[in-house]
Amino acid sequence: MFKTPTAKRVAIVTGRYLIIIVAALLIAKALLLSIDQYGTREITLVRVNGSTFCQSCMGLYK
Amino acid sequence: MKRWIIQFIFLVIQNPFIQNFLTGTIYRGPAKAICTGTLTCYSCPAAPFSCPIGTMQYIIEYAKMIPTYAIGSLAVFGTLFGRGPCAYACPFGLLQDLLHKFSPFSAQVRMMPWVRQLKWVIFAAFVVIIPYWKELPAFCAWICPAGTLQAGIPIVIANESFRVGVGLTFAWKVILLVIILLYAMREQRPFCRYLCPLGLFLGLFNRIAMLRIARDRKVCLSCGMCGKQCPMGLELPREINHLDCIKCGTCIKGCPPKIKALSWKFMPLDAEIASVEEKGVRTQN
Repeated sequence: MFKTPTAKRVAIVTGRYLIIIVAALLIAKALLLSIDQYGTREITLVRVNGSTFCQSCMGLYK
Repeated sequence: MKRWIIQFIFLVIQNPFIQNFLTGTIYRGPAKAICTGTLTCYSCPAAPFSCPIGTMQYIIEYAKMIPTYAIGSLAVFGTLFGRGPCAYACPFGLLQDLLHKFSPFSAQVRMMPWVRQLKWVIFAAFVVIIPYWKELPAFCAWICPAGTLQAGIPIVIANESFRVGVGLTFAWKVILLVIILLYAMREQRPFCRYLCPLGLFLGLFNRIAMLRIARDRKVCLSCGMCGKQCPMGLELPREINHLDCIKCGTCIKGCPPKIKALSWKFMPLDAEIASVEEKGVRTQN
């Protein structure tokens, strides 16, 4: 796929930083943008869900 | 520092509220918004953080959207360490390691070639498709042995209000947990090898992760000594930094001291070894 080792190395390093940038954008989206008309953010859902008994681990879910 | 010491440190960091085991309650503070890179159930009484796989299922199930926060968090962990958190921070990984270490039936077993692909099915079906389609966190509800051990069993024992509703699903999960733990006494880390969707996700980043095990092909004899103790049963040195490699470093210790072909590298600081690795140069007399 890559003609030279240097090209491969550049691709890996570039890909690595691109992924970190995209990951940072995804986290920022979850922290800042609302997902419905009530202004709920994804991070709020995560925190609320994490603070609730998840009954699936006890086999009680639904 | 020895790996088991780091594992115990992370066990304590991820389970500081031990007193909650007595009351059958869980921590509900702001730290629950933080997804770790390990399989720590957010319903575990002692846990301050959230499980990324549980979060993924919940967001898919409840909001019918791509779980950007969990994916972003795991991408950061993955790009930095690959599957490193499996080896150094996962409490369920530590338990499997201990069972194998002290078991009289333990054996060094190679990873089964086809069964290792089961992780893809588990991830696709139980973490993505069923939560979206049936609005059920299927992995947590039917499979996750870490959740059963860390949350299900302690809460059912300590909290009477949950005990009355326990049924067949809970029994199935306990049986699955027992099977996995018993098998862990024979083959090291069976859950990590064949079932863990979180390990699969982190493993996707293994090839480009900054933390990597570098192999100097100039000196490597491909003798296979590095693979003798691999907890994942990989074919080493061929599968170093493979998708299933948890970057525990056992292979580095296994490499004969006079050769020392393997070493830790935190890229991109190193260029020399990487270029040797890529060129595939091997000058053996």
